[in-house]
Amino acid sequence: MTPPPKGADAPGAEAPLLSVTDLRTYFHTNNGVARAVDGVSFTVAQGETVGLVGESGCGKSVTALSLMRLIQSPGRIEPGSSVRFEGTELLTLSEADMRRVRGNRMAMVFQEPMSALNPVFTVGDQIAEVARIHSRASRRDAWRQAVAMLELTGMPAPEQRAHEYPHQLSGGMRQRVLIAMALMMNPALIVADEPTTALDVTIQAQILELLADLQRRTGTSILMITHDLGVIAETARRVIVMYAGEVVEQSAVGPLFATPHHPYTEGLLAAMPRMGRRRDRLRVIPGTVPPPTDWPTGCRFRARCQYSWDRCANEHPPLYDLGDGRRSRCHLAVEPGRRAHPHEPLAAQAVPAR
Amino acid sequence: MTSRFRHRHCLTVATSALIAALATACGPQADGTTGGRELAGSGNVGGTLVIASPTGPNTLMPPTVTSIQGKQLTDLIYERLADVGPAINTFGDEGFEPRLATSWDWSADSMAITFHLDPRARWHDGKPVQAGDVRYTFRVNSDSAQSSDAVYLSKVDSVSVPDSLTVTFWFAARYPEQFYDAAGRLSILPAHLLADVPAGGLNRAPEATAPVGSGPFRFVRLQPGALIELAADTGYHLGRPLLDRILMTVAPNPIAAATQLFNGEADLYEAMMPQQMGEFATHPEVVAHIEPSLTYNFLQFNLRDPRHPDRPHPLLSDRELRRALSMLIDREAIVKSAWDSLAVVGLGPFPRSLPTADTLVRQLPHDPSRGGAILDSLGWRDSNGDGIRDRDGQRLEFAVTVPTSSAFRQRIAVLLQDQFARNGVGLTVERLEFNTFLERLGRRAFDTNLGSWVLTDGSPAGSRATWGSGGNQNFGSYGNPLVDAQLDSALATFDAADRRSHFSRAYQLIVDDAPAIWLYEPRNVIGIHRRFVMPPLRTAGWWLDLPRWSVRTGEQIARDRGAASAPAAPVAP
Amino acid sequence: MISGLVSRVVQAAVVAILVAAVAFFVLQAAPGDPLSALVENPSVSPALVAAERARLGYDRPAAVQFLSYVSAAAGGDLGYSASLGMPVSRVIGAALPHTLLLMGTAILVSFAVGIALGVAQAARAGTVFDRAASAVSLFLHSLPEFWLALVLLIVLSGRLHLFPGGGLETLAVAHSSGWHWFLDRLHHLALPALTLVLLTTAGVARFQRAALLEVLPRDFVRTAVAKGLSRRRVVLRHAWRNALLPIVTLLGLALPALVGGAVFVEQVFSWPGMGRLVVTSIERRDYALLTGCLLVGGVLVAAGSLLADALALAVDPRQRRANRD
Repeated sequence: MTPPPKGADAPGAEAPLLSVTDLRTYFHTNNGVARAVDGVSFTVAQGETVGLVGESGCGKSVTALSLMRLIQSPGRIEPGSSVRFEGTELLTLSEADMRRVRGNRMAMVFQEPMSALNPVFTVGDQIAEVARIHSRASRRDAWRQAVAMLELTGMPAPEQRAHEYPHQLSGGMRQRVLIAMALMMNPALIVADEPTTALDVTIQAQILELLADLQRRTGTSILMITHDLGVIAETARRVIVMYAGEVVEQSAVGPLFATPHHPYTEGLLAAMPRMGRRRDRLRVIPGTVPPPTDWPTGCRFRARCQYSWDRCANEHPPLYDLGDGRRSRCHLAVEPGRRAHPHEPLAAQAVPAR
Repeated sequence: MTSRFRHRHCLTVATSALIAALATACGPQADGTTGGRELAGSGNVGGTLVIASPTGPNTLMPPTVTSIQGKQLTDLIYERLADVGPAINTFGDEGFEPRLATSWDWSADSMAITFHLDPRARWHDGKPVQAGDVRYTFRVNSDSAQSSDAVYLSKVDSVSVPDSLTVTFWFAARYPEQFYDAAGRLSILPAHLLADVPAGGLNRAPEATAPVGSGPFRFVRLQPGALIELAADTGYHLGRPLLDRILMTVAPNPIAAATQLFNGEADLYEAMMPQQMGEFATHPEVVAHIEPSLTYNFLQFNLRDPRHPDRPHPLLSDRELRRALSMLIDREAIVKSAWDSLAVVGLGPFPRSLPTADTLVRQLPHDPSRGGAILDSLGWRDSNGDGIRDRDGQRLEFAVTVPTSSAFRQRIAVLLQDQFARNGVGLTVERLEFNTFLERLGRRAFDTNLGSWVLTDGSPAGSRATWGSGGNQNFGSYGNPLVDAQLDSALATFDAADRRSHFSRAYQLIVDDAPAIWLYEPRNVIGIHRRFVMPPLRTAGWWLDLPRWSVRTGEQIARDRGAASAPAAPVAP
Repeated sequence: MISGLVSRVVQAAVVAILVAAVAFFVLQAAPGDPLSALVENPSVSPALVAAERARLGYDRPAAVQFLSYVSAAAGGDLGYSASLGMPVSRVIGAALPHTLLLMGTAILVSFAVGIALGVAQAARAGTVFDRAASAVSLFLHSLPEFWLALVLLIVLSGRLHLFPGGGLETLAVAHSSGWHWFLDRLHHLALPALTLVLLTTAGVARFQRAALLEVLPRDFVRTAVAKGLSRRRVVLRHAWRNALLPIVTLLGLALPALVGGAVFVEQVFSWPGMGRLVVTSIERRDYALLTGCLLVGGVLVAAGSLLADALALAVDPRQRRANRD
């Protein structure tokens, strides 16, 4: 394994591994500018697992891709954004230097294990390629490492499986392949974008357990991106909730589940399937995420919120610091009395609140 | 002999010919029958001639050769008893040059001719040419299922072989073409190779594609559709040809063939188009030989109803109408427009270079007003003002069939259409694929067609089949007993002046009856590299004197030298 | 998998025979036969023509002719070409290698160049280079084969004397070495092959460009980038391998031309190949030759399509499983 590249300042106990500041990723389309990620800031510490949650369309996947600089035209990370990783500013790195970070120090586990693997190469080949690129390992060494890594992910009969093609593997096995690929260079950070969404529930649990286990063994940090708070509950220590391109709430896992502050978080928790509750009785947040080309003024959640009042329409809420590492982008932080007067949200029509 | 519808680049048919000759009309211009004359004459030995040809031969077996390329090649590979000579005289033996025969004797009653074979004559495999070969050749060719020449040999009673170098033809009747039929028509075949081939199997014998002859050039190789190579037979009994090699390469596209000629890749191309003539100016190394041809082209009227061959044609069976239509056409203008100087206006059912041609035949004048007046008097007037004459509700309108394979004929059809239209006659052009065109001709299913005859050997005798009553190539079903009588007399008489006057009278009768409009005689344009020295090209075929061609001293090029097949190639300094 | 291949071969053979049968009967229905030109020739006696017709079997009903042809062909006898005066097998045996050489070269070069161009265009999609290349390809693609062949002949051979004006090789010249002979053959091959390459490369390039553009946005390409691969490696190794399958299919479609030849190019450049043979056989109503060409063509096309299948298996592992089942 390669040692981490030396940044400007070595990552001390206090300096976070990853520090994202005012990240803005816009898509300049013919229909206007889609501000998919609109001023996001957060950090991930060494060895930490941070959850990033939100509905689809809220900007969490774009955030993940931005960290790896995988944004394709017409998308663009706007000037003024900053992604500091192991003491190095990634957004100003040359493409060649960036390649040395990708798959090496920061690796990504993608959502769709079928389409994320190349159908025409064996999985062993695809895993080994990482080592061949980053540590210039010989073909045979890289292959051995790949098999070892597959074994580490709990793949049965890894030597045979390595010779197979993606279509010959089950979904769970494919996800193990992607994880093995991400772990190959012992990266400092794994960005896992919905790693379990495409899997059925029992496999989901196995994969999450695997990730947690691997993290314990390798000490890597994980940014767990998901729409499923259940996944967060099982894996993360800290949670960042995103809505409409912004961070709306930030908290340690326990307090968030106990006392969600932002009404959006509240809605997500209410929508979470739990033991003994039938899926069709789930409470759903009324309305949908507005299009990123057209964020509402004021509070972006306003139309779907049961507490909203005139201030929400007029004033874009800042990320209020609530102490104990908790933050929330909701005016309730300064006018908590409003929580006593819920009302029918503007967007609520089809699905009545219970 | 005549053959129908030869295109300049397309299908060509030719074989040996009916030749009715005028023995005395054109005196012999070459040496007489002095036996054993050296054929080649003087000149440099060595050299290669590359002929670009639009297509390859269909076979190299003389009795069944039907393509012009097959004829060219077999004329060089095989040999006859005697050659008809440049004067193309097929009557009697005057002008004939000895080939396999050194001399010949007529019996007192002229009912037998005895040929004495040249003892030096050898087949290309080294075996001597013997009298038995001649007898075998006669036997094959007198079988109508094996040879088209059988019809000409019907008056030969038998062939006897007194000894291995003497052969006698016995005739059942005395007639003017006796000698030509025996000596000038038949290419002698090697009996020792072919005698065991079953009747009708000649075309499938190995010799059909790899011939063994006794002529000046021997066969070397054949790549189907691509190339035929001949080499000088150094043992040829009349002296080896001067050139070492002849290659015929197939170049189907005329522009490509001309490009090969002007690039120096080929030395000879005989199907130059008028629009390519300009190239000669910028390529002085290629000489344009513009030669008279034995071809004449015409617009033929069908005198029979195409739908009911037993009835006369509703329009074109009328002699006065045909004469009037002829007067409407300005042939000079058409020839000028389509051919520039590479064709001349036709005079009648014969090309000018034919020995029996009569250039004084009285022509129907180009006189549209007179033609129009005749049409008026016949009742053909434009009564409804649509530009086309009519009579009793019938329009004066008919079709011309043209093969799509000939761009020239299509152009001429349009020119005719224009001239007819200006005089109130409707002509519709019907373009037909070549085989369909032929099939329609055979069924006599047409109003008019743009046709042509090629008289490859210079014989006028075919005119009986093409313009005589009931002739099997008389597609327009024209018939005039007076014409038939004159042609029969012409082909039977032994008196040259008599023959000529019979032909003249026949031609005049035909022209007066206007079974066709005699449009043009094209000239052959043969491009030949200037380094070749040759006697004047013969009208019956530019290739006939090839053994006498040679390469000018100091002008040899690479392929003139490295001829592996020439054992004693001269070394150029 | 083997049984799959066998059934493909059988299928192809049946198709070849059907094609030959249709061609045979259509040609029979057209006016004229190989001897019809002789009918119009007064020096050829009707008796000779009739005898020849009987010998060649043209006087029998078309169905009988076809059956006897097929049974003979099964025994390896393709019949006798009346228009060329020799066995069909010999005619085809002479023409086939020339066509394989010309078309093989043309297909090889046009696919190599077309793939390279298509990849380069897709990697720079939307740039001036891409648009210019597309415009030029489209222009070349739209040119008539006959016209382009003639223009190249007139300009490059007739005017500039850069290439010979046709044929397989320089005639009547002894080459000093095998190398010179090879160069001479190459020199003659260049113009006809160039004509075909100019005409067909554009199609390959457009196909390759479209195929690659379709692959580039796929997830596994992003995975490859996320692994830290260079763009070059991503495009050429990961994306291109996946964009190769349509090209293999296109190659399979191009293979019949390998046998059929290019009629106009062969005509203009005096190239004695199969395309010209087919045209000659139709013009001269040479049933045996045409049927023979189509049969041989059908067999080779079947072989070609098997080759394309095998290539597809090599290119796309997913098809291997499909065939294994």
